[in-house]
Amino acid sequence: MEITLAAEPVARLGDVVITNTMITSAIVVLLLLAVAAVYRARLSTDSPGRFQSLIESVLEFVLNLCEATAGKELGRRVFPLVCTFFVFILTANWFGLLPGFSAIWVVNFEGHRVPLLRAANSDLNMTLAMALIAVGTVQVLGVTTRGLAGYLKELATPLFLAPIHIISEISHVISLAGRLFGNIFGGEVLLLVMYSILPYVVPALFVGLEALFGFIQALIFTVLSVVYISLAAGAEEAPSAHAA
Amino acid sequence: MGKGPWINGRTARALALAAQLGTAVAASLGLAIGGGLLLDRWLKTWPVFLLLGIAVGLLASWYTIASLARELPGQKKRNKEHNLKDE
Repeated sequence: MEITLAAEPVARLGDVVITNTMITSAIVVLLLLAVAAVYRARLSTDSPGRFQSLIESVLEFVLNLCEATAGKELGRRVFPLVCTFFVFILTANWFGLLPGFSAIWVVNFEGHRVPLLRAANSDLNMTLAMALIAVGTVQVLGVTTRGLAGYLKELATPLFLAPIHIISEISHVISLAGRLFGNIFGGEVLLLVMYSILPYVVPALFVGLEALFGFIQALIFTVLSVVYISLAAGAEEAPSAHAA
Repeated sequence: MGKGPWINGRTARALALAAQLGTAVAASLGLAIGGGLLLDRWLKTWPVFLLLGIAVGLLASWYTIASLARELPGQKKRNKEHNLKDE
C-alpha cells in the first residue's frame, strides 16, 4: 500500500507532465459533454423523458439553491458558473468511487508503477484552480459592482485593517481548496486502508459514506461560492429562502 | 433531488457556512504565520514578523468568522431588527 499526497505522473507530452488526476478530469469532462449532447438531442418540451427529467431536477436543485442564497436576479446570473462547479465536483467525486477505479496500474515514463486514475479532487492543483476561479469571480464582481475606487476603498477602510481584509480574501481560496482536497484525499486514504485490512462487505459502508460526503462537499463548495459572490455584489438574503 | 423536505436553501447555506468556519480560521492563521516566517527568513528578523503574523492571523480569522456569521440564514433580518430597536 502506497499513499502519495501529490498526483502521480503517468505520461509526458513534450514538457507537460500528465498526472492521473488530469486523466480522470478529462474523462469526467468528456462524460459530462456526452451527457449534455444526449440531453440536447433528446430535449422535448411536450414529453420529457426520464433522462431529461433527471438532468432538469439536478439543474433545478442548483438553481433554487442559487436563488435562495443570492436572490433571484443575481442567482440566475451566477447559475452557469456555480452549476458547473456543482456538476463537475459531484461527478468527479462519485466517479472516483466506481468499482475498479484504482485497480488499473501502468508503468509511467520514469519506470514506476502508478495507478492510471485517481479522484480528480484529491489533487490540490484541481481544487485550487476551482477556488481561484470562484474567488476571482468574486473580486471581478466586487470591482464591477462598486467600481475600482469603491472596491479599493472598502478593502482599505479603515486603513489599519487592510492587511486583515486582504488575508481574509486570500484565505477564502485556501479554505475552499483545502477543505475539498482534504475531504476527498482523506476519503481515498480511508477507502484504501479499509480495502487492505477488511476487503469484504465493510468497505461498502465506507463507499456509501464517501458518496454522501462527495455530495456534501460539492454542495458546500457551490453554496460558499454563491455566498461569497452575493457578499461581493452586496445582495440581500432572499426573502423566501427555500430551495430544492 | 427536486423539491423535497430533506434539504433547502437555508439548511444548505447554514451547512456550508458552518463547514467553512474551521477552515477559515486555519487558512487565515496559516497564511499570516507563513507570511511572517517567510519575511523573517528574508529580512533575518526572527521572530518579529512571526509574532506579527500570529497577531494579524488571529485578527483575520476573527474578521472572517464574523463576516461569515453575518451571512447565516436569518442573521441579516435579526441584525436589522436589532438596529431598529436601538434607534
